[in-house]
Amino acid sequence: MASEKQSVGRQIQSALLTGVSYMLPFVIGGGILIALGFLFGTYQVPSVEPYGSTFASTVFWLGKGAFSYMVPIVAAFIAYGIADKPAIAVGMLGGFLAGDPWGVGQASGFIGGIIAGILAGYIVLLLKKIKLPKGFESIVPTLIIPVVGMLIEGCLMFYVIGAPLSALTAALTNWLNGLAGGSAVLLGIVQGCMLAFDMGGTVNKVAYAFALAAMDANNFAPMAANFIGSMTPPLGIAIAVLISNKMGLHKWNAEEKSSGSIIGLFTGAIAMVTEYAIPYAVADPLRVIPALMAGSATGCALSYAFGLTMMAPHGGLFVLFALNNVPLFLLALIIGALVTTVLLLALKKKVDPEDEVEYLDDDDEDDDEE
Amino acid sequence: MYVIGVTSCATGIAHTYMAANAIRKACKKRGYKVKVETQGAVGVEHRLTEENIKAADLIVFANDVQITDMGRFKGYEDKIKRITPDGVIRNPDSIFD
Repeated sequence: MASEKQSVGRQIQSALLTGVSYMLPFVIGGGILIALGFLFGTYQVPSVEPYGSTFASTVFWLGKGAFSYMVPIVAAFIAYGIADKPAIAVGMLGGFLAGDPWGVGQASGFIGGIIAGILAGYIVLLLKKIKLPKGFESIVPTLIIPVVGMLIEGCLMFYVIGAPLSALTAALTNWLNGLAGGSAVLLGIVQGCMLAFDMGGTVNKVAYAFALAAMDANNFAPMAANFIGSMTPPLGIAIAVLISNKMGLHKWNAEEKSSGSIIGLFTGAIAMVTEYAIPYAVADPLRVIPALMAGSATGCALSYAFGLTMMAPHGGLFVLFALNNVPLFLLALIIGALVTTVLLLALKKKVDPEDEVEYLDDDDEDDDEE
Repeated sequence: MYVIGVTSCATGIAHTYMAANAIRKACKKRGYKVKVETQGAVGVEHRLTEENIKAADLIVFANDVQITDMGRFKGYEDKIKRITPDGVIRNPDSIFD
């Protein structure tokens, strides 16, 4: 139950992140299984073969199964983020409807799921205000919210917002599929800046959600850009730190330039975990964040310019097989990272020699006293 | 002074733990007792008990995503300080403002 003290904007923002957070395991597991199915079936077979007929098709349809939960789960947990536990079922129904399960021409995918989740959250929040006489209060969560909540949610979805939402989704999908040349590059720049801005935080997740929504609509170009834009920040910093160490430029303190930290950065780059860049950005945000954004934006723009597509939703270099063109992907990644590297080396000031000496491990964190 | 906190972020692998450490450090620096529950990708760790919540002077919520098991904090709303994980990582002392 989000407290009443929060503003509506903050409440919805937090709810959206909650939805994405619970959705990610389905998307990542499902998406990578789908991509593996294609790999085993040499990119043709699985989608036309029934489940179980070959190993490739089995893996493919397992992934499809998990992926099909993406929209219901995001809707369910957006609703949960707004109105807590009783909203899960109502939201999940709304997300299920966004997938147009009975083919009435109301498919609204990921966008529909988001709207359905917010709607369900506020419906349940309102229903929770119903006050019944003492002894009957338990009827609200056990009976009224599921029945009345689902009825309102379902009717609003079908009679009111289903058609406009599916029209909106179709329009956005067409726009995205028609993007080419300069406008695609511009999209890449915006996407890259958002991905690098907070390195795995709220703004980054909005950009990631966009790439997932595109994937849901069978457009795999934004996901390729998403990979590059998420991987260049740690990679660019890692190269810059290595160069600084080799050439004695003294740009980072002892902890930042330690081999442990550098290994962490490379892990982040390989596994697509942008968060490894955070400590460097927190220490010197005004110089580091612009350098990261410029590198990511360059990499993402190149990704669109090269026409790259990526069919897996996460996994960094471990899922290269799901790309349409590995050499060009690596080229875009390295150019983006080098832009970050060059900017970092140019912008960063020399550190105080004292900070460079050794890392004093004085505070062992932890230890919550029980 | 006894400070407790709950941290969570969307992916649950980095901000959650960095924010928890920022809170722990800020409290240690002032000599306060502290316990921070993390709600990351692996689930809840260092779970706050009823006694912890009852004994706390300050409850810090550094969360981007909905806190699991929010019902525990009912009745203690006036001790709760809300902040984003990003905010506490950048400026740990802001939890005492």
